[in-house]
Amino acid sequence: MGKAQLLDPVRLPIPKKKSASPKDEIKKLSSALKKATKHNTQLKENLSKSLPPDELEIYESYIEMINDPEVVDQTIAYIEKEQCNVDFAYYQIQKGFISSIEQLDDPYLKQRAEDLRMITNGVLECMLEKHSKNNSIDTPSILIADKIDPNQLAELNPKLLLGLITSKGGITDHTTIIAKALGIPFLIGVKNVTEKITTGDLVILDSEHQCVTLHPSSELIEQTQLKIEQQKINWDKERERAKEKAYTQSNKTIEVLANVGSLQEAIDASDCGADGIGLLRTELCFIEQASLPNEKKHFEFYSELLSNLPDKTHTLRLLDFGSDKQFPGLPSSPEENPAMGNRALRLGFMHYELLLKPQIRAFLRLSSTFKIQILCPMITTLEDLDQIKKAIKLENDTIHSTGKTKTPIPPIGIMVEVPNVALHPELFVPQADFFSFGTNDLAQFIMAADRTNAQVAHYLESANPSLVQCITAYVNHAKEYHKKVSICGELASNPDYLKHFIELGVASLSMPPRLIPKIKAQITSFD
Amino acid sequence: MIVTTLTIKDEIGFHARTAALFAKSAAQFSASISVTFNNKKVNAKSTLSLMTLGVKSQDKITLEIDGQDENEAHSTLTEMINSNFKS
Repeated sequence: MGKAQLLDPVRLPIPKKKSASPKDEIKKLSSALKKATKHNTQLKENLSKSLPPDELEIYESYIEMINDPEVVDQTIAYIEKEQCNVDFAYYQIQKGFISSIEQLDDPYLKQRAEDLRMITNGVLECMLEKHSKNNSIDTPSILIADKIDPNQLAELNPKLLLGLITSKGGITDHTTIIAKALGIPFLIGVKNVTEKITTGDLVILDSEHQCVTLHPSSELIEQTQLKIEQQKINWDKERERAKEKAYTQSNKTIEVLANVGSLQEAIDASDCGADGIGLLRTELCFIEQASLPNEKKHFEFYSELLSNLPDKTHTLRLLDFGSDKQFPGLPSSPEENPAMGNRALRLGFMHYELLLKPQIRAFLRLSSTFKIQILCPMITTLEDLDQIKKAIKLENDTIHSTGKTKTPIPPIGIMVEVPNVALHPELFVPQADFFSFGTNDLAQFIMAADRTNAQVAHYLESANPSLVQCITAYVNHAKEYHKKVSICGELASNPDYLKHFIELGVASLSMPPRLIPKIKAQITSFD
Repeated sequence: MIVTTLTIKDEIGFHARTAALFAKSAAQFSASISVTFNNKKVNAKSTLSLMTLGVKSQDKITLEIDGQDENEAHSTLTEMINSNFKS
């Protein structure tokens, strides 16, 4: 809850004006570029504490783009030819670059066109001396904007930023990633929000229920204040208690693990009392990067990430690119139905040297320092399982042959997310070391309802009884072999099934870090 | 003047990072340097111009270098592309 602050962007299009002195306009260009460069360098420094070095690399390329020699030369030529204002000339030239990059049939470069648009706006702000007059906050505020770019977000004082509401923007763009990393409540895609709310309006932003209340009644304000205070107290208490392993009154337990897809989430996992990382979504760690990681990058990234919880056992999943998580740089052909297409290990073996090999080798090397287990996504047949087991063994042998210290292969488990696997515990349980139910994918395949399609997504709720039936069969088979079954996906944090899973003997549940304290509190309340 | 045809082996092609590396390296030389792809010729010292070419993995580009330090520029830039932008 807080006062709204509307972000005032550069108004486009820029009007063209005659300039008496093109020389002065050119001078303005060089000073604006210097200012913008300095500004970006500073942003990079400010963010260096909260972002990993690979994310910071992007600021390096922004600085390159600001000082691009073609842009400078063409802008100067334009000013001289048209005898016009620098901002107009600069905008015309950049518009040309943006549209030619946008026209390329390449999703990755299209994203860079967005970056260039942001850089252009930043330089224009410097030219128009609009900068930081309208776009900063000096009291605690909820920021309202059509779109906010990472630079604008990064320069705001996070202590004063209570929340963020935008009318446009996607959940995978850099802004969302930074907002998440900074821990700011936010809502994106709220239609016409900049027209409905103006600076100074009192707003309640409820990111949990995804709603915004404008001009709340005094009653609601009071309720919200109490709620916020209570939430903070409860949260601190629960988090403190969550540091311990959770037992029911009758001394039964279940491990509560974290789903992690970034360094920040690993820190959150440790902070929220995770008993380990139950699902490291390695593809999310690299999806924002310009190129695929090599063995060294894999190794260094996981080492840093796992050192947040050095004593626990962690489950690292092999890259699950494809489906709704496309890596922009991978050569891929468009698929009619990517969720059932060439994804995860299917794609991994197609580009073995690029995708699987460096990661498997990094995992094997990590296992001498950390307690890890390797999780294989989208296993469909016993042949799939056999193929990945052989590949891991082969890499392990080659590591040894080059004289590195000998370590045993870590446990190899499979995701149970394809109905063929879910239906046959008797075939798969003997062959893998542990089993992790990917309930989101399994639900969409059981219900024949695409989970990214809002029109049919309601079917997924009805999948729970079938999921529980499959889980029960797996747990019963796994007991005979003294193997463990865990659950990740939505069902893992569903409080209605928690008691059942404990009684059944599910070994662990893996969920977003911030849900862990609440689930642990619930476990301790059971008989 | 030196003219060479080279194949881009990077798995993505000339994207932001590789284009920036290439342009930065080209900018060290006084020679005028251009890259031609699909009948479009651009200034090799400009990251943005290189990006507009849309060069993908395995595409062939033509490098034209003209100036005093052309030999040095040629060996540095071809080495960069042949080593797949690893420095």
